[in-house]
Amino acid sequence: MRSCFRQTGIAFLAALSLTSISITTRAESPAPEQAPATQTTAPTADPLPIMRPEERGLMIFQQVCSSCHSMERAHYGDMIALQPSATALQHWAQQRHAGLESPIASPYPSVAVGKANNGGDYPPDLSHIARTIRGGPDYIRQMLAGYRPVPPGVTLAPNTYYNPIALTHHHKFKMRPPLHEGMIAFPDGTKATIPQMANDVTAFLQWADDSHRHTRQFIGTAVLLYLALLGGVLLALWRLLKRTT
Amino acid sequence: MTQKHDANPAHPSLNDEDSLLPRPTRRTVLTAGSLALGGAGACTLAVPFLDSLRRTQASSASSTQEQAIMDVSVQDLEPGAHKVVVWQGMPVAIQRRTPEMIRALEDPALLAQLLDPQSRIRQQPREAENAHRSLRPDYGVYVTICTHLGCVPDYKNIASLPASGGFFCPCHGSQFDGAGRVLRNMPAPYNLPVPPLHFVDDHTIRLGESTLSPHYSMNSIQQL
Amino acid sequence: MKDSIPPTRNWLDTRLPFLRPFWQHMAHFPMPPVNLLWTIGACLIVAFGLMFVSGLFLSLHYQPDLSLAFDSVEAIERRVPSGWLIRSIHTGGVSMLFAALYLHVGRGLWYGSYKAPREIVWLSGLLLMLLFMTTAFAGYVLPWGQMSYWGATVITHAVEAIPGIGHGLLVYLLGEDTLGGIALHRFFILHFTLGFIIAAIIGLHILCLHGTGSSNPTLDSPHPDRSTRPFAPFYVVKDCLAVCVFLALFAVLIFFLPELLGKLDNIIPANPLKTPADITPEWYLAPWFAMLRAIPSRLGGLIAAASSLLVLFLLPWLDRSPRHNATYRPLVRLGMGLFFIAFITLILAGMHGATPLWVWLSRGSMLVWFLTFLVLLPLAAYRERQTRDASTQGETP
Repeated sequence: MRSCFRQTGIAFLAALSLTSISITTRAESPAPEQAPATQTTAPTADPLPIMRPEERGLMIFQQVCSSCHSMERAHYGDMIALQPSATALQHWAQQRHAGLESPIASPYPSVAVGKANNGGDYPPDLSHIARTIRGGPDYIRQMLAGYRPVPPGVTLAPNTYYNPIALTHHHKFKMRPPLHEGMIAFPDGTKATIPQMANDVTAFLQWADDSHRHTRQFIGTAVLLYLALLGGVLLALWRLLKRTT
Repeated sequence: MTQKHDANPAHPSLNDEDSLLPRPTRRTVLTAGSLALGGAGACTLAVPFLDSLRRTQASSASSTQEQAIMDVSVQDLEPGAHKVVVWQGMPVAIQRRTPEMIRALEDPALLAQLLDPQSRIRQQPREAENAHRSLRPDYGVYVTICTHLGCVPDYKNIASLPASGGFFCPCHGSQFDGAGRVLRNMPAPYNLPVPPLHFVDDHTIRLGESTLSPHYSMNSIQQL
Repeated sequence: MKDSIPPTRNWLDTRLPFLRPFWQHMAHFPMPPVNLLWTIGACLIVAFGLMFVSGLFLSLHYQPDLSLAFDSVEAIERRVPSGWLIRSIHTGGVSMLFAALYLHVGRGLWYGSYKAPREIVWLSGLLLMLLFMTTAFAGYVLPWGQMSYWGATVITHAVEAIPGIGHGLLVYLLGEDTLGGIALHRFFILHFTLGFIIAAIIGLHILCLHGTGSSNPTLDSPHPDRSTRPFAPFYVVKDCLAVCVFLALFAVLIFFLPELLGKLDNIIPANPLKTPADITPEWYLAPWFAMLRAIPSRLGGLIAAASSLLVLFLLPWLDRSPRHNATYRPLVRLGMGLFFIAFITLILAGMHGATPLWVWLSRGSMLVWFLTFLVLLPLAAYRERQTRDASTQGETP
């Protein structure tokens, strides 16, 4: 667990001594994130890579979400913050007939095709979904894990799925259940349970909406500490001058 | 005041210092402190602004990933003809030489006019450090970016040269012979670079890869 | 003493002979015993400086083109190194700047800083406020999101209300019939250029202030304090301290409360075929938006909004009493207090939907606005001039 204090300390020193030009890039590095309760690590001797939830979320996005949804505002290359291998990203982009500097477009050639493939609802763009959707990240997390068997008395149209959390169409949701137990093998050994993956995808979508959240808070803390110090010195000087001049 | 202090350097006592050097007052310390802090803060504030001028993470990743290898078919080139292709954003002139042109490149009258007739300066891979400055005598391949200030020289016969073929830079009039060698007393200091290349077969040139000098690249030439 | 001046200083003084008198004037500038509200001017300079620099760097990455504008802003947020930080300084800075600006103007109103001999300071300040409002409006259009587009559409169509020439003027200003690429480019150039014009007028504003000196808030009190202190070092440090607090609030806003800054609808690209559910302006322009809405006639709304600003320009001549400080002018104190409440009400009204409650509150606030400045202030001034005690009251310029 990286210490929050250490990060703040680094930022503060950088702010004061100007030693680091790369303050912002350094701050992009993993910030302490609450580990999901369901996370389990396989008891092997090999050290497993440590993955942040949004990194696992990117894997799910690449393999699952992006087969229906677009993320137009982001480029394939933007994911380099979560997937440091440019080659892997390039490969992913090329599979979708794109390059690192092209937007993550919808796989459907037109809105009509998208609707036809999804029971009449066009899969929305995911660039800012964590901010724009009603209920925000909490809704996304619960909705993704919210699919249930059809209760008796409810009849569903074809290509419709029962999800009591979903807000559209009175629980008769048009998105087919995207997550299945064990559908992805995460390199860090995290078990791909549905709540775990829902959590990771939500973390990724939050990151996609606002990738600088951690950096922003950490720079903000540094700035406030600096201003408190400067303000303290100035206050002392002001009170001195008030007496003497 | 300081003179008096210097005069008695052997006995620096607390007493002396008190009387000689004015103690920094609280006010001086606080003023200096706030000035230093404020200055440091202002400099730190400049960091994000200067940082924003850097190229983006993804674009630098994609430029290193960019396909640096390009195959060019020269089947359509008649002897004496030439063509220009764009490789990694640079114009590359490919000329097919006639036997007269090849012979002319070794003309002593021409060599006498050249700045670096033996291609000693590393502007080409080792395998092109020869009389015709190319892998095969019948093909000349040069990056036509003037070594003076980066303009693109035209393929043009130079009147004063015995051989036909040559390059003329429109910006400051640098002249190069048919093998991209710069003439004496020209603004350009070096010969035109030869890109890393090899022949895949008789009619296909692969740019960006040299089989004989695997470490040669456009970053290793003298000019940079 | 002269010999001890370092040669470098002499060198510069010989070549730029105005430098030393300028710094001496600044350092010795006599300041009356002003309170903390007089430090907001310094905060405004800092806020403007940050806006100016961050704006310049944003303009390096922004594309004023219909098809590229929205994406270039997303690129600044996502791809330009530190771009998100520069943009949050710019988008947060505008709120901080207007908050300080309105406090600064409010201080001028309360302490009578508009009065003789400071009329030009007041007028240049009001001109700055108008320019800031124009700049902010033009800047808000640039990201070309839904709120940019529809906000601009609504406000530019207010121009259409001008009888006779309205529509022609609108088309002339937009360069085409509807808000499009030509208008976007014009908004960008306007926004960019106004930054430099504002910088020049700030210089003029400070120059005017240094001609007359700061006003003295204690003069109308029972115990006037006519002592002065040189500007340096005491007021320099005091201003720096205030700037420090101002920057701390600034930092809290942009680093910890970013959700207060961006309108949700503005992360959706402009769509001329779909108006968002409720168009609300940014808070700093909300009062005038509320006024436009509160008057049923379009022309009436435009006239009301324009005259609400115009009346401020007339203040030095509406209030000719020798007294300055509203604290010691009971009638003015009441009027100004009501005006401040009305102003805040108008901000809130402009940010809420056009329900009857908010419309009537805006109407009431507008009434207070005009009554305070057109009736109450001249009346108070008249009474004070009648009962003026020539021996003690009134400030000597």
